[in-house]
Amino acid sequence: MLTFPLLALAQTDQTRTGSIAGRVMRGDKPLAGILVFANRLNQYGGWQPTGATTKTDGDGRYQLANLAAGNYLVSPCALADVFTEQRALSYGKPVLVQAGEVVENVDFALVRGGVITGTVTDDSGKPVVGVDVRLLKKTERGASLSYFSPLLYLMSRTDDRGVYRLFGLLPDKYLVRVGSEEDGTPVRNRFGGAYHPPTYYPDVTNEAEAKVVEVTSDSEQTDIDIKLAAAQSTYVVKGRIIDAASGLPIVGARVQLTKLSGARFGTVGLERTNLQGEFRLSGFGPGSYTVALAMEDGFNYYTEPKKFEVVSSDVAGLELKAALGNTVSGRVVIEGTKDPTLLNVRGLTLGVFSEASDRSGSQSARLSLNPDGSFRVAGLRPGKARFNMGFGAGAMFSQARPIILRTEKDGQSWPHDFPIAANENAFNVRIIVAYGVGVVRGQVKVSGEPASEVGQVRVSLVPVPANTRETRMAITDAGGRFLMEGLLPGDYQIVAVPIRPAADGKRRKPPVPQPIVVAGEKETQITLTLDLTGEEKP
Amino acid sequence: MNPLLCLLVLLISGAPALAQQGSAVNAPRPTAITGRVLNEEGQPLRGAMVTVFRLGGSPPTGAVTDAEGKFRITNLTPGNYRVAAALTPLVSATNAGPTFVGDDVTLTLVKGGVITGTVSDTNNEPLVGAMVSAQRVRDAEGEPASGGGFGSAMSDDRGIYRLFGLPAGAYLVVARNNAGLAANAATDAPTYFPSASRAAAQEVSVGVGAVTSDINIRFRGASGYTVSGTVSGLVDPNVDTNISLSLTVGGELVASGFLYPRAMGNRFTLYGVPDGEYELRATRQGFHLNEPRISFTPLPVRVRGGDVAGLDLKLLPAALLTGRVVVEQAPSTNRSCVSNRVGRVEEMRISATSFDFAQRRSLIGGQAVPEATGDFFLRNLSAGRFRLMTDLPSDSWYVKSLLLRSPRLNLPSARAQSGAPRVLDVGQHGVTLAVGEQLSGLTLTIAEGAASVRGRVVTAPGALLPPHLLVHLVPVEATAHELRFAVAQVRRDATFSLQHLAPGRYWIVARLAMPSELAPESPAELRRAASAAHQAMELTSCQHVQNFVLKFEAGVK
Repeated sequence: MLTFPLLALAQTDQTRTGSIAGRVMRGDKPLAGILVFANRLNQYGGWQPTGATTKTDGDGRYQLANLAAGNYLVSPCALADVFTEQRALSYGKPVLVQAGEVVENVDFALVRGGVITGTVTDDSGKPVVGVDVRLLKKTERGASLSYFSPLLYLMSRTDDRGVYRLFGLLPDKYLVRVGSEEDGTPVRNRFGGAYHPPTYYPDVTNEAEAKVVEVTSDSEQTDIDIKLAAAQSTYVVKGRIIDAASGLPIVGARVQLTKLSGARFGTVGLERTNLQGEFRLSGFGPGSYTVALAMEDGFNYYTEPKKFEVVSSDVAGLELKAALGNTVSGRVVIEGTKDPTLLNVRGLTLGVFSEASDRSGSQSARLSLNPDGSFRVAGLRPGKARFNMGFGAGAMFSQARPIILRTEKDGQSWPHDFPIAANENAFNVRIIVAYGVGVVRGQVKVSGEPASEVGQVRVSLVPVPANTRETRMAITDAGGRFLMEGLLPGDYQIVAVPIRPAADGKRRKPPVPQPIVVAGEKETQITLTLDLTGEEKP
Repeated sequence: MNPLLCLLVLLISGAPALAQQGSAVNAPRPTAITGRVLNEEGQPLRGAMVTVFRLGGSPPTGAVTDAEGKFRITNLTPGNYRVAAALTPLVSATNAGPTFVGDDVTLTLVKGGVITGTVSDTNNEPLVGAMVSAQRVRDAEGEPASGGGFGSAMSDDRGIYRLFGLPAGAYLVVARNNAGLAANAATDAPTYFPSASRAAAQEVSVGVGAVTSDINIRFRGASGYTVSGTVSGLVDPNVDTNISLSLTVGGELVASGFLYPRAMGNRFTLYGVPDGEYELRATRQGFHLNEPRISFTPLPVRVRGGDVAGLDLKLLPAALLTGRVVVEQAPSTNRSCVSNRVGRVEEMRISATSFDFAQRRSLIGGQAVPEATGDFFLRNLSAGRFRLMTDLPSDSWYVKSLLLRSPRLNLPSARAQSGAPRVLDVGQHGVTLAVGEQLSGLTLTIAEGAASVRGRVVTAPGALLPPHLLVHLVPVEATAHELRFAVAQVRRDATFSLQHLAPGRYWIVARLAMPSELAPESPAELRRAASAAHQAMELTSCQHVQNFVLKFEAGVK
């Protein structure tokens, strides 16, 4: 009998027979009173809270009992301490628990995390209060990635003196930045009404000139002060939207302004048009933007995104021509189960995505389904619509969601993208979905390097042919084991790749994918051998 | 339509009344609230966030001040608004009173205070990641304030925390362990400064812009209790609703929880609750953001030395009370006394409040702002007896009567008036609503010509003026409406001001308020006390008594 976590929540304690135990230490000092969480690792490389938590005793020991079988991510939450053993999932260890199994010695050797502290001032030297300081992790190859830790948002804000203090940091190389162009929040409000471009330590606006701050364990990098770049003028963006066919104004429509910064973009303004179809958005610094109609329930128009630049003056006279979009309606049909709980579509949502000529103007919407599974979406631009299944707000505890098998209309069937022809509505569309019930249980064996040195291995399951089903991910536990659940039957390729790069001077052989067939309800077992016999780098 | 404006137009032009009325109607109505935000020295503040929200109405809207500190918030519908400005770490020096569309206001921001210190554990080592918050219990004048929490901050790797932007006043400072993590992780009871329960907490005073340091909290580390049970009533596991639960004491949030019945069933558990008496409240939010949020009647919860389990929090359908406001204009012979701030019905606010005199408790059940037609809707009411309170925009308005005409009124509690059966005098008796009842036919009559009394309270020579003093005006006639009872807080400078008074004969008396809260005394209690004090006054239409001196003698309680 296969269980879904959605149902697992309602299970009795009799099925929750697994447990995980271990010890949390800093050097040779046991850490008492530290919270330890066991969260469920999901099928998409993320994790979901389960509510399983305990505290370490006076000797640093913990035991998480009454766990249902499954993949867990075990994380000690010592805040000022960090766990450096496994870099990929720095906030925990993956642990696979089978029914009735007691997994022991899931130990954590923590080190005191590093600290970065300093003051943020504006260009006149006054402290900037209540602004978030962000860290970017500088990788070996020079890329910069946002650094995330569960509590960063609570400590990254400057106080009344402009002082910030980031602690419990993993030893690494970081860039320190104030302000962000892409996160969608109107940065200007945070800085006393003026628009300041994002500024990196030490007082530069160009990422290439930013100085790397190297953090080691149990050390403090002080005086990492940032003086914001001078406030820039902001400008007003004005325009109107008319019906392409009649020339009449489009009234009360939501206009979305997107700022482009390199490959990244984010919504920076939303405004409704007035009775003359006009819109006016203010407070924008120099840069590249697009403006387009935002998708909205019950609104049947769309526009192509219009690109424009803000240089050193207001932008006026933008004219967007709106066209009547297409309506797609139909039903989501759940196949392959008679379980009334699974057949209930309540809480499920249908995502719709339609890419524009410019990616920043893509249409996307999330619709809740009617109790009979029916849906209707209007205003889609001609091209291709991509659907996906998801959950509404509040349903984050559920893990199992149906997977789209195909979309059908008038006896035709499409495996993924659904074509939207110009001026042609599509009614009676059937989106066929199913809950996967296949399971792959496996073991990764390492040769050529000691398994303890290799650490976690990421296992990917890729459908054949590609894109016909979802690609899945799993991380091995300390014993090299992994589990993938909720799979659709069919042909796949499976491949194992160590998360930690090879030691300096070594080059690994490219991973070799292996074919695997996932059966309907029968568990598929596999052993993957990972040959890491290294070659010296040329 | 502004009647006074009409009158002026007539006098000036002398033209036919109808034509002039027409043009007055077409004159543009103000749609903006404007103003400036200044610092203590009167210099303009740029970049302050100004928000206005309509009482009982739409969500807040706002604007940011320009280089001259000016702001302009437009497209507002007429109404009674509150305006607030913030520019952390600066805070409002004063609470701006009701503001009307068309007003120009000046807001002063002062530097907020700071509370800083450390949190340590039972071994005297720094407690990292404790969530520290300040609960304001007294304002700058020492008056009780239940404004809830002001800011929170996490203790850092050295155990240091710093709360800023605090308005002057007295605070309780409380630390919670693991509060930034999952709800079931925060199982420790909170510790109040210095190392105490809430009842034994020491108040921390904060002056304007001052830093209060060394507020070091020794975390007690004792486990709190759990409060658990089920939610029943309007809970359908097949409908996507979220239910938020909150456990509060004196406006302070002690524990909170979240329920998603579809996936999680209807059981709830709140963690880390210390001994105390609380209110457990549920709010239901539909899956769609445009579905109304529904709050339900709170359940009193008492925690004493152990977990509380098996609570049944019933979500009952809310009642609705609808009615209309009618404004009776003063006869033209008496118009001279009408204030030049002429009110509009959509600028007033009506709240339904239930009083529990035995428990010395009052609870605002619902608030409404009438439409321009005078129609109002009090939604989300729980079952119980309510009195209606008004917040009037014009000095010359008073509430004349509050009557309910409804076919429902064959209940024994309804007293028929001669010649008009099925009329309940809600002003006198209040109105009792059953679970989910929808009651209409309420008429709130406003009259012009209100009186007012301003004055000060004096004590016996050498005696100090006690804090929390109230001045009551009690109608002398035994059959008078509860509506005619009036009450005002005595300010720290001993002055008081009673407004919106109906003409008539009153007793006036100063009484101690119940400790820490503005706990209501029943009309019967007040009548006894007021008649014993023997100080009567007659108020005529539009009479504005100034400099009234009211004696307060300790012992007259």
